[in-house]
Amino acid sequence: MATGDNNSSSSGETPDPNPNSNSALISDPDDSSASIEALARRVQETLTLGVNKQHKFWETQPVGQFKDLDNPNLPEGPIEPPTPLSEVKAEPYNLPAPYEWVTCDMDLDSTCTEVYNLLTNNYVEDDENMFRFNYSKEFLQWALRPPGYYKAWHIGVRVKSTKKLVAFITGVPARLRVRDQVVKMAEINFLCVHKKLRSKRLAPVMIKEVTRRVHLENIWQAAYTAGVVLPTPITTCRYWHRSLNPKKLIDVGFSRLGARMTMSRTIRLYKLPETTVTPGFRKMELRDVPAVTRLLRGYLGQFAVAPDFDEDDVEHWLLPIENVVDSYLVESPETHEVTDFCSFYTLPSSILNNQNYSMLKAAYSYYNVTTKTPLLQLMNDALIVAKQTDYDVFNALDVMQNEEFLKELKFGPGDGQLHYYLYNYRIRNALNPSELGLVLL
Amino acid sequence: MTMTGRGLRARSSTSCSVRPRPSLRRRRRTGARRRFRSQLELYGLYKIATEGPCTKAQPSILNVSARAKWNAWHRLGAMPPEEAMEKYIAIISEIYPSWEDASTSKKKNVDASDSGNAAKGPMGPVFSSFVHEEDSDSDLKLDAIHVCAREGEAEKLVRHIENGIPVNSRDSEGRTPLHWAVDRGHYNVVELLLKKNADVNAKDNEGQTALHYAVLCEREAIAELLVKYNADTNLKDEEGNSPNDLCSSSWTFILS
Repeated sequence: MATGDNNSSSSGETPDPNPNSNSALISDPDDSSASIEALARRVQETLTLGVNKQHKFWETQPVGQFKDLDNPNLPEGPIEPPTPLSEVKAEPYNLPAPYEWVTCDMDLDSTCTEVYNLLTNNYVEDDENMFRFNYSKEFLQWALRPPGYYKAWHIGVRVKSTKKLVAFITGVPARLRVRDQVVKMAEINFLCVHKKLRSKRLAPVMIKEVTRRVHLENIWQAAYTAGVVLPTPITTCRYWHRSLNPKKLIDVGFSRLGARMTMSRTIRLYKLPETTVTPGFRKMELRDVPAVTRLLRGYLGQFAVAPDFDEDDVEHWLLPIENVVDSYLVESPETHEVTDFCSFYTLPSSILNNQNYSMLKAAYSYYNVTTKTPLLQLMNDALIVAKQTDYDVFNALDVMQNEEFLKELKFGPGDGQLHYYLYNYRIRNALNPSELGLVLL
Repeated sequence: MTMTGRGLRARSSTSCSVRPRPSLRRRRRTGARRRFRSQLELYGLYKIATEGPCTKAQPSILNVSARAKWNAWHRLGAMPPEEAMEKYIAIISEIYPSWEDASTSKKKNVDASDSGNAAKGPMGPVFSSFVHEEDSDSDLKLDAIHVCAREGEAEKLVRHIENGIPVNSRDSEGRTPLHWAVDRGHYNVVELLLKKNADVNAKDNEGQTALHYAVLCEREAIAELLVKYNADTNLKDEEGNSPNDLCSSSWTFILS
């Protein structure tokens, strides 16, 4: 019997949005007339999520296991100690015969284009296959080449005979702080297998291969996210969306216009001022890196899990790059002190099968810090600049202090849940999203 | 025989592989009707799958919901539970297409972390869009003529007018059918209403005319049509804005 997603309830930390989900198939639907539909919904949920599912791959990996949830006898920290480098497998894992490993050099425009094409045609879609992420080439070059990155961690799989790139996975190095420990980790992302090869079981061997290459650099921990429940999330976040261009969002099916709501009222509801309101609000520049680093370090210290950014990291991750990442700050007109900071990254999605539009331009809230300006006002200014630069929607997770502004600034809840994971690092209790200070791209 | 998660899954993979998926558009269009019928069907199939044929007494005709459910169950007679499960899954797959992906990801999770056909990969980011919330503005009272205008049902609308329904009927927000047709962008219905002498400058409870709506919703062709029918570009709404003030596009027919 498959059961529902009750990991969050058993962890006792995050509220379970649907505590009855695990009774989906045993409850008698006679209870109410709506129960048939509820049953159908539950069947769906039951099969989508679940802690009692077998995870043959993940059960072999050093990750928090569901059976260990809330076991007070297990220490926080690495699950397995590092092995001597000489014992790390020196050769790549075996791929099925028609395929070969390739290291993707993201400096090369031609390689970058290949990766871009693979992802644009095969990467993450929504449940209804109406949208697919369309990470730009510039974005990929930014995301994959932070300070100290390893080319060997940009791993592709080609068809031997045609050299066609058919799968991809990446890691980038990062220092993450978990409570009071700063740990060198790999952030694993962009796992993508060509749609026609989804039955070939490439993903597990790709995860093992990137893990091997991470180990070769004497790094033993990793962070990653997933839309599915695996053993075991450190926290589960929800996406929220703020319409900037409601008419287009409705036209393309990103949001729906209720039968009793008018388009004109909806448009008025989401109207934003033409200009930002905070005095001294401006784009971040290179000279701001030290001040922004100080602000960020001071702010991120309060979260249980957060990146440990130095100036090089801040210069890479937060200095604006057109259509990739935008950062704004508040410089006090009197003291010229930098007091507040907000940022978002640009992740468009292809709109599949719409006659009028082919691309959805979305801003994703990244890191925001306030010391003087009210958070609500700062984020409203972020919405205003995003609207001015033609974004259709502004997305944010309920991480950090984001909950304080989401509802007030007319964000609505999304259908996407994002689970965060650590590899080979145990934390005893799941976190609330507001205890997480990490945004993965 | 009990209906287990495993049983459901096993059925799903067979039924999914042989049955072509209907196109998204078709699924959408027929969604509401389909869903209602499916609920009862699902109920009957569920009961067959879990309890077998219906042997209970038929509920009273006054108990509409219980009777409909009983009928749905009874109708299936002695259908074998396996067949019921298969049909149940087929319906679920149609109503909740993403369920199929979920079941694929399920398979994936059982033996390893393959990408499966799941829209959500085994690892990585998630595409999220708005949760569809039920209308909260439930105090709104609409007449059938407003609904026709909203849905762009020109022929029905004509029939209402011919049956003596006033062309300028107001809903509880003071909107006329013309407001609704403009709001939803039904050019033909707008034109039809204007030809039937709809009041082009009728204001809703917030003082907005159909031209305000057309400007806000950036419906240029409709705005031009309204102006041609003498819509006033300078009528102010309660907030003091005229269509002219609200117009951010360079529509010369409004600015003149």
